[in-house]
Amino acid sequence: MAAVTFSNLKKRFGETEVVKSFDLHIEDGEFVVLLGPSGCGKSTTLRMLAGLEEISDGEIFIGEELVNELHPMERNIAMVFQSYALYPHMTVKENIAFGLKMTKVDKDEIERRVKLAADMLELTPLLDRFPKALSGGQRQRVAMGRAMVRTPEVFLFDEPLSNLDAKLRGSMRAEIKSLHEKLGTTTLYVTHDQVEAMTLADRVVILKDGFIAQVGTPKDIFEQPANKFVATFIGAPEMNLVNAKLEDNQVIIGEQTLALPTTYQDQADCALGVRPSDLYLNPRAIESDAIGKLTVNIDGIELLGATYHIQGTLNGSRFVADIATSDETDVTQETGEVELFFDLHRVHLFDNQEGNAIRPNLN
Amino acid sequence: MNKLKKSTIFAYIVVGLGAMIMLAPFYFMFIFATHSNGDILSVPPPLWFGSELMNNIDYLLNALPYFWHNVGMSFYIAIITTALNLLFCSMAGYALAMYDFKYRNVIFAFIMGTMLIPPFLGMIPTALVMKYLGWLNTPKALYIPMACGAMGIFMMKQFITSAIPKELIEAARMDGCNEFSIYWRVVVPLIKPAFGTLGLIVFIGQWNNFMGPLVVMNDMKMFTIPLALRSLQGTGMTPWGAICAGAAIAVIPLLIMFTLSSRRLIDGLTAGAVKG
Repeated sequence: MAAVTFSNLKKRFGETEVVKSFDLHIEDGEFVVLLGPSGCGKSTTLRMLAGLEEISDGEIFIGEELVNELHPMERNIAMVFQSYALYPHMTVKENIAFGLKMTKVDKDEIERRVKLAADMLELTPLLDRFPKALSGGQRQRVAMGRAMVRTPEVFLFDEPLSNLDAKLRGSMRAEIKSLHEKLGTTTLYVTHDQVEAMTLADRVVILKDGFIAQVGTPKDIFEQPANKFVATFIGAPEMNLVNAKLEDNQVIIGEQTLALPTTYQDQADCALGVRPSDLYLNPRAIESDAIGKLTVNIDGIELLGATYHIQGTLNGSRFVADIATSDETDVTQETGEVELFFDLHRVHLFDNQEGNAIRPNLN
Repeated sequence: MNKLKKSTIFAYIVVGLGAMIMLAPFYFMFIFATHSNGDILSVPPPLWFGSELMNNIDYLLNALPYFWHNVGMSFYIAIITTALNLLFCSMAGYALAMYDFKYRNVIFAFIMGTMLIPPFLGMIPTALVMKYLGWLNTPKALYIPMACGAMGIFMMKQFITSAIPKELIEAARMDGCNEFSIYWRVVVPLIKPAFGTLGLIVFIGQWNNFMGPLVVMNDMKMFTIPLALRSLQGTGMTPWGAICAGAAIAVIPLLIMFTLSSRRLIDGLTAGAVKG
């Protein structure tokens, strides 16, 4: 196991810079997820660490060692690919053992390690099968077994679950998590699926256009987004953002005013953010010393089982609320004005120029 | 239904006629191999097997004392050429399909461009180069110039592009393979169908090659079969029965090979043509 450090890492394809000044330190044994939309540079970053992509600028360290010029094999890392990349002409056993054979590990040791991995991943009855005779989930486990047996210092996962159906994805996620807990290997995992990121990661790195938009624990990222991009990228449905003004500790949205419980600097052009799941029809459902209220013009309600999905507009912006069906207030009104309540401690404020979060004054 | 049946019958007739036209030379080759020259040149020519096969073979072996050596030469040259083509075409195809390097497309276009040059144009320069190298009357004068061809490279590149995902190559690289072991341990086992197809094409092409040996071989012992049989057509009466017997012997290995692997040949030629 080893820590991984990216220092001012850059990647250019011709004139296009896809990774721009990437700085990150991953602790030994940590599980870090790179999350972002397509084209944000997350896979490229992972591939640079793997040695599959040349580095345009900057440095990568695994442990104390600078690995910029090292061959992928010399970096002592293992990678699970999106398409699993199993060798179709080899059996499961041969697939798992291939890396060890290539590095000239002793035959008995290969047998021992393959058996250990196969037992751990429940692949023992499948060892003599070829990849084409395996299901998606089994292939995924073989790919993990192949990575595991090499006892690498760092595990890399490049969107490993994106080819699986939703149900299997859930169970494989749990398997990856428990595998990491058992092995404790430093892991860098790339995905565009926020559920994977939130459930697996010790820390999430959110990337946008080649930059790090925020690094933090899943809880931090969700509860304290550093900017509008993170605020809207994390959470489904995405956070409501409404243009507002911050004056004398009050948020002014059109003709509505919210008195904030914490002190902020005045801001003429800002955005108020409220997560749809933080909204209630019944103020008694909120346990807080500061409850805010907004009147929203609604234009549709959908029952999604456990929640009512209310859609409307507020001050010209789309406004959505997910109201638990257990909320005592009946949702019968499909159009017109509705009062929505929320905990004022859970609102977010963003500067509209830079898009960054506005934090309360500490003194 | 009736209309469909008529069109099917028509199609069968067209295909049947085509097959007869294609197979007629082969049929007559086997028939004439069993007849004397007099019978062959009579009108109408014989349409069924005769009893002169052994006489024709005797004549052939007398006229061509190195006939079996010539058969061996043909095998030797065809096998070596095939092996070299499989190696070099697959390596070139793999490099062009999987590596990003400067001028890759230009190089590929240049290779493809060589297909536009008629092979006869290169015949005299090749013969002169072989003479300069002192390779005339040696098998390498045939298999070295033919060791790699644009058609083979193109076929391999297309097959590798469609059959091998880049991630597989990257996985092998991460598993500790160097560039040659990626090719040998991962790429080669996965392109066996293309090997089968290209192997057959090259083998058949080289077995039937007449012009190549004609310009670089003048020692009868080093002749390949087509050249040896051609040498029977000297001055005076051409022994058609013996030539046909020799041609029949020459064609038997190809017929066996093709029968055993025609399915693979057709599969390989159409691989990647449609979405699987």
